[in-house]
Amino acid sequence: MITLQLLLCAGILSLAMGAFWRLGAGGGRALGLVLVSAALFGTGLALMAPPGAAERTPLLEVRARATGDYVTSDACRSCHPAEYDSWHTSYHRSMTEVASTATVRAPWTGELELDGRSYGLLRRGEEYWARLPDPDLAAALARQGKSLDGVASVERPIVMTTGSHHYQAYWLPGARGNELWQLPFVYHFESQRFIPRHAAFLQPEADPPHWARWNSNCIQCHSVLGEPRHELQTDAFDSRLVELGIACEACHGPGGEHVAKQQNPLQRHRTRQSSAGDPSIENPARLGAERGSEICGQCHSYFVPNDASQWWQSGFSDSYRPGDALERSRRVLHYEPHAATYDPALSTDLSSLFYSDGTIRVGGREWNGLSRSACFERGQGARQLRCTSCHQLHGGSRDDQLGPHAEGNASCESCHEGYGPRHTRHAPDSSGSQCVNCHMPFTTYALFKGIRSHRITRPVAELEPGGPPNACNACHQDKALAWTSQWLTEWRTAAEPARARRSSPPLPEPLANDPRQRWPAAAIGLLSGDAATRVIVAYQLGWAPAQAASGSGWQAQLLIEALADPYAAVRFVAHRSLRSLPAFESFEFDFLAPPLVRAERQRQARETATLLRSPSRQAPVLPLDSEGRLDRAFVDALSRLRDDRPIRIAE
Amino acid sequence: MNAQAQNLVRRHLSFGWYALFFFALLGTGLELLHAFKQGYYLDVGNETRRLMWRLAHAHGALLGLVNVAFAHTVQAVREEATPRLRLASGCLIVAAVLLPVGFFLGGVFATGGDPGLPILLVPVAAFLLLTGLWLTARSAANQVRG
Repeated sequence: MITLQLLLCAGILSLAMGAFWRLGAGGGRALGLVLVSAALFGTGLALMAPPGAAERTPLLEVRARATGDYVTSDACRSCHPAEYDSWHTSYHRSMTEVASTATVRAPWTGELELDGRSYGLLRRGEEYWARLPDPDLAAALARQGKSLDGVASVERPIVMTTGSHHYQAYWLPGARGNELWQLPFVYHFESQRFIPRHAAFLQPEADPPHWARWNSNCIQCHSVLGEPRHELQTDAFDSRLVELGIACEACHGPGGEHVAKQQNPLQRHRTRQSSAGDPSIENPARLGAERGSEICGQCHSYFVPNDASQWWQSGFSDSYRPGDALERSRRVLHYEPHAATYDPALSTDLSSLFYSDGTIRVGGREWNGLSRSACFERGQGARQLRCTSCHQLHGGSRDDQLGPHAEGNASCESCHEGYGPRHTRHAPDSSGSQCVNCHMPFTTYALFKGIRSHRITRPVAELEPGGPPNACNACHQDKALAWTSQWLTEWRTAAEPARARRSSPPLPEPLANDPRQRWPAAAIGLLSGDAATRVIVAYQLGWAPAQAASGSGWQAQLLIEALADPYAAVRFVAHRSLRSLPAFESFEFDFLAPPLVRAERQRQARETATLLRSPSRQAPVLPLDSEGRLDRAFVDALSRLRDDRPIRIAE
Repeated sequence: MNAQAQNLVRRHLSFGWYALFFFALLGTGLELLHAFKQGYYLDVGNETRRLMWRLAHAHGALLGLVNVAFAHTVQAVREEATPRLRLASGCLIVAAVLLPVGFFLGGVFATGGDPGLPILLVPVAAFLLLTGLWLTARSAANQVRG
């Protein structure tokens, strides 16, 4: 092709110079111009010649391409520039990207250490490389529970990234087909450091190392029409996909027919005038609440494929298109209260993923919550809750894609008109009057933070093992469960006497006698809850509206205890919340430091908290000893009750 | 004005108006590509091609006008067809061909964000254009002084 272009240029230049001569410009000056022109062309050619001249082999073998009736987002822009632009700035678009200087966010230099092995981060020109134990061998040994001792280090290029919002993960090619192994570290934007993958998730630190393959899981949601194409005999992949990241056709379905049909300008004009739109492409806004929300739920839910062997071949490409019923392709997991927590299709116990009342507690799985909400289950027609009741994918906020129509209470009030202070029992402008703070508290967990539960519920005060932290005490953290129970019962009895007796019974007798009823619910959750409850309460303790409602400062004593939590994620979140409190703004704590180092920092933090004990409060929120320290007997009693079931939330 | 100068005027008037016609036609073609949403012109991946072809259209039409203006300048300065004017004439006509052709073929062979090799015709044409403009300006200035 280059030869053709050069010949073409040479021919055109010759003709031009011939014409120049014939036009009578002749003479020495004309010859000079010809020479200068030739020199300019030659210089340009030399400047454009690629160094080494060899064609560069693409590093990433799982590449985007239009296929079948899929045309990629490139084809959408010319007709839908605004939608394309809003998508292009979204985190959906940049969920998966080819690694380059434009996409790799981590400072790529130096050495990292994990389990006694060194990992090197290397730059080669514009390429990113890593030196690590041979991932093909290491993964096989890890599966057998064997040590990586003796596994030689290899250097591999980083070819792809995942994430651009909170973390970024890095992928490098394996030996079989186009499989991609994850570098066992993620770069955390907030703390600007690499974190071992297992510490970035909520999981026991004693869990054996896990080498993640992009083709065997991530591909289904982090690309368009991902097909794993796994070869069982060789454990190799020949994966295919249409586009990296979550692009137009992930939600609107294949665009080939639509694009072909709409090339005719008259047809386009007719379509734009029609309220029915173009049936050859899916528009989630024109679907009913369930089908429309399932488009989001195809990824934002906890599910297992109906046919696992088919999934390992073609993913969901044969069984699901946006607008289809989700149940045709997968089983969205639900947990009924007090049912068995074992599911043979899952490697994780259901009690890790759900509270004992059946509420999902894994962030990013909002369809599990929404589909179990009364607003969805009992809503009808336009008054049935759907994802887009609050979220707006084109033009919403970048962080959580909330539309302007979801500001304040507007979304809820579009159905629940006239719910004023008589319903909220809080001052109109207070955080307690925000519908979401009582009905969608921060009780799901992912990415080192609490996320609002999308199972819209009424606040209930209960002390059931494995139950969700209640919404009232998420703000009134200094109050006990008995206090919450008393107020809820009183309000509901006043508002709806019969219903109150039915739906919010007083605490059962054994729990009413439980001494834990007297202490702040936050202390109980943080010291004796399971790991998911602990990390969520640690997050809530740093939440500004809660600190405004329950005072700021006393939380430090509790959060300092959580710095010794056995789960790295709990320690990280507790430290971040601690830094939101007076006198701890610049308190440094490495949640991954050796235990002795962490213990020393914890001791220093306790001293600071003791010195700063607020004299303004008439009675301390937490039981303190004579020197103002958190009473050890209290801490030990609650810690002994800690729910130590292993919890694994890999989000 | 001698016969040679009159030839120059005719040549540039003719070339200029034909160039205007041809590059207006190209513009119409580009509008049709918009109307029929042709992916090889409008898709995000073909942004460079779109830019190059629009530049070809714009430069071609503008240089057509420059050639018409040159013809009127020759008439206005009433100068004989001096070697300087003949050289300027050649420069302007060749530049008016090379510049849009360079952009157009650069777009045809565009890959990713880079135009094809024929874009190298553009600096050559730019050099000729600048030379032609300078020589024409000098002739006009001499006439004013004379």
